[in-house]
Amino acid sequence: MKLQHLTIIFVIIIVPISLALSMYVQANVDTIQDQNNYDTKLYNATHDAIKAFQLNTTSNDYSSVSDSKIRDIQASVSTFFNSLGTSLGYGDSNRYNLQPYIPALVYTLYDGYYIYTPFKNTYNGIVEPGLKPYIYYSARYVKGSDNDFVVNYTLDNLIVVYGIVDGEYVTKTGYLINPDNLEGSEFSPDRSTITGKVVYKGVEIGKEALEETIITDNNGTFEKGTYRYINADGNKIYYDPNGYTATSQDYRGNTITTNYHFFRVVANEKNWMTEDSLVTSYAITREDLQNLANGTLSDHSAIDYYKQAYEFTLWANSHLDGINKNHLQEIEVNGYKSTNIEDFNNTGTDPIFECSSRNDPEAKESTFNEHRRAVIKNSIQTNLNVAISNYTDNSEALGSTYDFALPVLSEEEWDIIISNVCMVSFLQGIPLQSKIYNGYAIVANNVNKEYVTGDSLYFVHEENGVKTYHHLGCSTLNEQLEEDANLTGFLNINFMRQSVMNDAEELNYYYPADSVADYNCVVYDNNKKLLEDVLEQDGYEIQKEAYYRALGREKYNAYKLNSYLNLYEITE
Amino acid sequence: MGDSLITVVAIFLAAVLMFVFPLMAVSERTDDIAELSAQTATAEFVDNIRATGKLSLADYDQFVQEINSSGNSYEIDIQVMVKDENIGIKVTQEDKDKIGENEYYNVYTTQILDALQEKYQELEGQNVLSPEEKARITLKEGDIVSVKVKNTNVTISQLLRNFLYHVTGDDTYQIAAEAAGIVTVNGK
Repeated sequence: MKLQHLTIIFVIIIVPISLALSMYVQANVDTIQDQNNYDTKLYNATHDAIKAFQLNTTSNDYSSVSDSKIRDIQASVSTFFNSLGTSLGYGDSNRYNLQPYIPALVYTLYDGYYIYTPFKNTYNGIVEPGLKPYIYYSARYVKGSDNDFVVNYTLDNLIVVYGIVDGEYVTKTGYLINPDNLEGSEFSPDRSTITGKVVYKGVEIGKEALEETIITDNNGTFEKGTYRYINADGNKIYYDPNGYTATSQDYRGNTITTNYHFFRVVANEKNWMTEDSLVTSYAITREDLQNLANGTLSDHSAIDYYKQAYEFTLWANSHLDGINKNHLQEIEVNGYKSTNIEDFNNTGTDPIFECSSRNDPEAKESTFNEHRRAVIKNSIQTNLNVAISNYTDNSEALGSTYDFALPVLSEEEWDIIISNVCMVSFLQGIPLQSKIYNGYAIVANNVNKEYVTGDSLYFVHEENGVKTYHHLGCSTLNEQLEEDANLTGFLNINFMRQSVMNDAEELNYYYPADSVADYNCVVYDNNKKLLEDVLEQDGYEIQKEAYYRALGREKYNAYKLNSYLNLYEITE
Repeated sequence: MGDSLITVVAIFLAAVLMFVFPLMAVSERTDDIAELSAQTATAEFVDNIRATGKLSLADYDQFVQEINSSGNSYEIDIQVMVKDENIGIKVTQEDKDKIGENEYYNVYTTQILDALQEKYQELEGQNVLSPEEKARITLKEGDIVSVKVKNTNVTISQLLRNFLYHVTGDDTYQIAAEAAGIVTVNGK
């Protein structure tokens, strides 16, 4: 056989093999690229949805109220479908086309979560997608016949307890803290309450003078002003030195003149109130209002936070003592039991609610926190599993035949979900070249009104007449601070642009904490220290004081869905 | 004479077809796979920065190890577009109609790596546990991060291609990957 023939035979054999191999590799490459493409688009759509939720809640005074929150979440869901549909090229009917591939969207909030998933409306038998009822991060504990109660957990150290505790029915809400951290405070003789100064982790918590910029609607005209204010029962009471004078006539026809200096903002308008009505309506004293008017230190939310947290913790220590993971009852949804015991095992039989230096509810690795995180994870996992499994049953009605299942999430991912207000989206069943796409995206939302963390606080400092806001660990801030420096922390949402609309539907914008971002820490991280380092190391006394004050104040004034349950009521 | 010439040409063609062509085809596939692996690693690296809002020296080292595991060496370009809202804050306070006047300024690879190294050395001096984890720069929501990698070595397919025909110009890399996105959370 000639060499030419051999060559031809070789080519005949090799070329098809090479082509087939090439096509196979290319198909796999394309599949992985498509998968990455879907992952990115899903992540971007989830971020868009979170951004929409942020924008809607930032300028909505009632965003924490349940009905308003549902509207904001529904708007966020629409944004998700629009964003994903547009990026995938689905055109006008985004939601209709995408719905068969979206088994669930989860919105984890401060004290519970919503699952958006199709469900069968038992009234008309139609399967339609929607928000299922709000589910609290709750767990039931039974110990003997005297203790059968439910604890609603949150993303931080606030808990709600309701049910039978020590033979009595109770409903109580409060923050758990380590009482040993308050050493140095002035206690009552039996140490049941704090009667005088409050010292937390060696730092004295004092009153504060607060002010913010707002724009109000004055009969169709926007009025911008910077006012001092005091927090009272979750409301802000502002002081306007110019005030407002109202005249009216009594039944004899005499003219009565009333001067107002205090107001609240209701529906973007100033709602003027007298000292008397304020004292009657809110937990506020004349002395507080006098201090506010004089511009001296007036707001005592932080002090109240530590005092009430101390009292609540003592109550928990004496009434919820001995409760451990063995008293937890299994979660059951539609006959599906799923208390994943392994998640709870790491706390052993240590008491969950007895707070001390050994079990500091504010420390990440404490028994309370380990258990709290296991409860939250277990609750979300169980309900999500059921929702996605049910989706398979209902999916034919929506045009899909894929066998939907909850993907296995890593511990790091669960850590993001249970430590943040966040959104989790699932996209499953889209055919790719050689497989079926099954992906999910988790995006945290760390700009919100309800969940206060140390990292979500910014600190305002005035230097050479310019107000600048910093992270606590900012090296520039540390250099600028003098001994008597005034440093006040606020939640990050106060530094975001807020909108106000008048009756003529004209919009205006303002920043409540009227200050600019520091270029060495907020705009770009230029050798900023970690928060935990600042709190642990010496030489940051001013920062620590500002931090504990701001954290206490913001937590105390955060709106709580459970506040109707005798918030902080400690009476026996 | 004529037969000898044809034989030489046939041997040359046979050599090309039997050795160079399959080798090129296989080496091109190898580069494709290396590119895919680099693309996946780059996307993961960027997605991790976007999801956590931080870039630590440990993350960077792991990324370098991952892309180098294909046997190629890479040049990595990181660019962070830092969002500066201060302009928007000042403008919005003055004029309500001018909204969203944010600006971006850029930070590049050398600045980022210098900052990470500086922090690492500082932390190492303090005997901090896992300093490569703590040596980090944090980004905020709205910043844009983009990463590009391209190979700096000559791969076998490049070698063979250069043997047959020469490609001139600066961009003579064979494997390239890039990923970019908006940071979705404020880094801690």
